[in-house]
Amino acid sequence: MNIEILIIIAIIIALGVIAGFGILVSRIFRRKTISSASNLRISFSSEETLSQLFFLLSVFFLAITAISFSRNLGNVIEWPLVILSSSFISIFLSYRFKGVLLLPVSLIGLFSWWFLKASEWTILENPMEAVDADIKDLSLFSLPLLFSLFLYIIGLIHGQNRKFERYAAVYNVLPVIAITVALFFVSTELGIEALEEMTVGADIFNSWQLLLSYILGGAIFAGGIFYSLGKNIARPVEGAVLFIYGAVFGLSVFLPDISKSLYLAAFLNIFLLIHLVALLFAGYLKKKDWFINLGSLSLFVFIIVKYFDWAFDFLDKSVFFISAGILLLVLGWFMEKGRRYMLSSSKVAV
Amino acid sequence: MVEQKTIDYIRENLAIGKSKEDIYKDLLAGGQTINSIGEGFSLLTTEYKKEDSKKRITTIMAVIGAILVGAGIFSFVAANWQEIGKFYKILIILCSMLSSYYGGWILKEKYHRVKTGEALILLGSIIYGAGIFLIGQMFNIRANWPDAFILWMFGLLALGLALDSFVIFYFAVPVGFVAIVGHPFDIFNNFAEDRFLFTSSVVLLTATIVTFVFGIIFYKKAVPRDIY
Repeated sequence: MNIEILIIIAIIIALGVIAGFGILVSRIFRRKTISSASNLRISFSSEETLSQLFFLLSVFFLAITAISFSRNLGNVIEWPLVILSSSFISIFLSYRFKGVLLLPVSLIGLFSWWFLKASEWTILENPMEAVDADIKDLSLFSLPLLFSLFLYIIGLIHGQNRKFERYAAVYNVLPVIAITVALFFVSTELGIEALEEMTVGADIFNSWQLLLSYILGGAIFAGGIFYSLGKNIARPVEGAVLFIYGAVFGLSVFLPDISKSLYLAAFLNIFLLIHLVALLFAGYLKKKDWFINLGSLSLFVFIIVKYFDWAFDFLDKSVFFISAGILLLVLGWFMEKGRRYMLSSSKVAV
Repeated sequence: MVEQKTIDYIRENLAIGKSKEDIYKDLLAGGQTINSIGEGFSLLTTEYKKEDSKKRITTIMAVIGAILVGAGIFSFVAANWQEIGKFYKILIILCSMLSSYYGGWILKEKYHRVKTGEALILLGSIIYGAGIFLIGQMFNIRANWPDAFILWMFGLLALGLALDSFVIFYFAVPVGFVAIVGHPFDIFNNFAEDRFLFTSSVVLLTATIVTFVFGIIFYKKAVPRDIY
């Protein structure tokens, strides 16, 4: 099958998904409105903003102080350990002093610590022969995404208590952004090439640390899903979607050596498109404005990026730019109209 | 058509804090129609919006003015810096900083030109930061450059506390972040030569404690307390 046919199939599927989504949303709009109480708000006053910013500065200064003293004393502490301990302190301060700004920083810190350690674990050093175990780097990519899904569940649990609504938003936003960015990356040519390289190497079983991370992460994630479903915290559809994502990221660790192919590119792009449409749809169902904004922005970026990616080489340049301009205008108009419509529904509800 | 006396009545009563409903009641009792009262309110709203935009323009002009004056002075001093003696250099830094602070304070407190006054105080705090670097350069002080940003931040925090100025506190935050970004580079790149120089570590520890204390101070000031 040549590239033109594949592109046409991809476009037909994309249009079908968008049209289906449009019909679904228009039907739902007739009977539901969104509550705007779900807006993301970092602070309620200048004092609170400054308080959070100074705590943030304090945590960063603490980490650098520890690294600096460690260097003075001859590298007594590893700097990943400094990142880990600072992240825990940051989480404590975030909850103790209601500093929601500290939370994403501490979560990113925890993930960075795991990533740094896992990078070491993928290279199993045999001191006798200096053998490089060369475990598939894909685990460094897929496992953080799997762990981030658990954050989403924590967000759902936090969302049950009005006191922790802002924390819930942070826990929900981070995985959504991480997964969207990751899918964007692997759907590009560069990303597919990287994916090809990441699947080369030995299995995750060759490193007990990685295997333990995998089993613990998977078990906690599965436990979290069942708990939130059992307590009616997550809707069944939400649970199913989370489970699918978890299965995709969890099983991708075992992918055999893959080679760059059009089928893979088409699959990843369609998967990304479905993810973005699902994001918009979830925003409406969950009545979250930021979900809708994030979904519409990502969908807009997706269409523009893919247009440049696919049409730049085989369209005449003048036709390419004229079509790009028309696409941009029409798309911008439709997306703004749709976004305003969704957001105005939220105001009506108040 | 709304009468001028109705508009004046609404303006005066809004100024003394009377509610919109009460003003409506009084005017209706005085024989005015709902439409004319509504028109009066909307005319006043437009007037207030115009005043707001004028104030905003004044603020922007004051800030840009302060920055331009500062840039001009810096440019003049930089061009003639080599020819000026150390004593005069310090004098220039101190005088320009103190005059900015004093001018700003006079404008803010005596003449109630809050925005222009704060712009001048901000200029003074920028001169203070520049002064730290210039004095370090003049006397070849052996220290890591991000430490200067921390010292600048300390000065800003003290000034912010003295003047109770949010502008200065907000300015202290990016200054602190520059030190945070700069220090790791300094630690990993130039550490070999200054391995036993504990100054940076002590300054960093102080910065940790000071920023934490300021976090607590603002946390206690933040209202309402029960909002998450």
